[in-house]
Amino acid sequence: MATLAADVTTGAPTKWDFRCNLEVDYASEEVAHMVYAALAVDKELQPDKVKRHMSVSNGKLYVNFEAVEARFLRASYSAFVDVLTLATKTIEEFGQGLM
Amino acid sequence: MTSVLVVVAMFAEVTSAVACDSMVLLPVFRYWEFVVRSKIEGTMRVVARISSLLDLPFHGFFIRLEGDGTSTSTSTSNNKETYKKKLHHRLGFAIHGYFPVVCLFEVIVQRLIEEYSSRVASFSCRSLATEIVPPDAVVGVPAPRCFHFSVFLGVFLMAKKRLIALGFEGSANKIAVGAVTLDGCILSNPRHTYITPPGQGFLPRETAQHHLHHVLPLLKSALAEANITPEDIDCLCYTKGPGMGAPLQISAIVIRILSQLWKKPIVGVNHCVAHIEMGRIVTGADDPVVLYVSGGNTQVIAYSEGRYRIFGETIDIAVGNCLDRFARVLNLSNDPSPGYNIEQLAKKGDKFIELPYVVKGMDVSFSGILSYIEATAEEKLKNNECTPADLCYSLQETLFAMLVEITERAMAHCDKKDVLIVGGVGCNERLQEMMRVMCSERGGKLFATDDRYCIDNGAMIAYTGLLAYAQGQTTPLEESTFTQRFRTDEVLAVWRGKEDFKSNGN
Repeated sequence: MATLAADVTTGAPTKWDFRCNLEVDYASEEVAHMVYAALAVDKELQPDKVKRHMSVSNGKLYVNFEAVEARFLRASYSAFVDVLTLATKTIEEFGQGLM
Repeated sequence: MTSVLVVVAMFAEVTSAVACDSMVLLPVFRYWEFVVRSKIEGTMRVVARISSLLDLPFHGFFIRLEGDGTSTSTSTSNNKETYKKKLHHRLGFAIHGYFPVVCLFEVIVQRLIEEYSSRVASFSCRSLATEIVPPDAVVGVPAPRCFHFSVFLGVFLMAKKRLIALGFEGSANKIAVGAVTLDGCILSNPRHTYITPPGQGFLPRETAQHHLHHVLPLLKSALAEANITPEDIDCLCYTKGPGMGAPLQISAIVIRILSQLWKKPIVGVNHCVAHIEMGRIVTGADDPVVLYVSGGNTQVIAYSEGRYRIFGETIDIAVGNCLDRFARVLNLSNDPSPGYNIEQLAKKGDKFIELPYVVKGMDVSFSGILSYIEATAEEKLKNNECTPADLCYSLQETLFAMLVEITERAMAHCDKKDVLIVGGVGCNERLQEMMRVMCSERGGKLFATDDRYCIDNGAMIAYTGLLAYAQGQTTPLEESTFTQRFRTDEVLAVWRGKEDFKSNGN
């Protein structure tokens, strides 16, 4: 698992000022889809404050966060990384040679 | 669904009512019923022997009407011509006034089915009279000359593949994984408890971190201890709710990944219902009033019409929460649990301190009692008016008396004699003792379990999920969510409906 980029931009005039992208390279379409399917079930708890968009391509999982305040972005991102790690670890330990 | 493999299927054609005149049908049918009966008895005897020889449980038995009015066709094929012929003859009855013949026939078969259904797990019957006849088939139908009915007896013996479920529980401060079979045999049931320092409770985020850390090692040890591989597992069960959000999510995530890796179905389970079902299978209590008392829930429950109905509950905090928070006041250890340490200390108490007693109809309230004792404890302890042990003793006596009162009231309401105590507080022996006295006064029995099953565990989730799975219920991946609020009576206990059916037949 490799986290490539996490950039936070501020100052844009829109309401969703706080953005953050996460890219995880699983080097396997199957694994990336599995993680996507598992994490997509849980919706963001405050959709009016944080939006999360996910996609899969070329064996990579792309996650995009948008929030109205930095603290919401932080909370959401940090909670997401925890469960992402758990999902990945589960595949690592029980996915017999998938990763 | 409970069993998958048909090993022996015996078919016996039990026939025949043949008559050419409806006038003589009645005695013919009587004779026919006698023949059918003796054939069924004979078949059952043979089946019982085969069943015991092969050590296969007797699963099913069905009676199927194959009678069609023809004297030739006893075919079971779906051939169009045959079907048409059957249709014509059936129509023949209807058009030429022989419809009562069909009805009479069905009445007899229905009677047989009712009589034998109590002795078997399932049966099926294809009804003649209820089949719809298309109108264009009416033209040119001859009156039937003779009637021929036959009945097919089928008996299934099932090789019971042991259904195995894996259950994940993580709704509060325990993370647990358990493996069970449908008959309630627990293959493994490891768990790990998040224990906070004295004076502190557990918070969602830290608890989730604890679960995150322990869930995969627990899964490994659950599989190893049960000596099973992923291939042996039939379904993956997890706690859908109620509970704390972040900890609940851990089980949900793991189960979603495993479901995809191992290609196994998911079953979402209500935590409260799981406590009840575990209590029932472990103690053998059939249809008790259930007192569910834990750190997060306090409910008096009884089964009625397909659901576990809540007869009374706390209107604020749970009884376990009240005890846990009082333990923090006294700075008692949270290891193994604050409630356990209160119970041990209470044994040394002998002075009863009057506390508020708050029963409101069928419901109870604990938050006021907690505030009161929190406020007075410090004062009284400082002035040496009482010991911490006295306070623990008095708190337990008061809280448990309230619980016994509302349980007794629920028993009177729904006319049940037995009580089952489940949930973490349920392993308190003082509560069990008080309840036992009340039950014996009412001529009933108390069922309770020890800490292995009372306290949250994975096996209870696995077992309850398996009950639902055996009835064909699963949760699609996209719907495998978790929820903090999930009331006991939201769940349709489909597996209990089956029990009702069986007991009604007896």
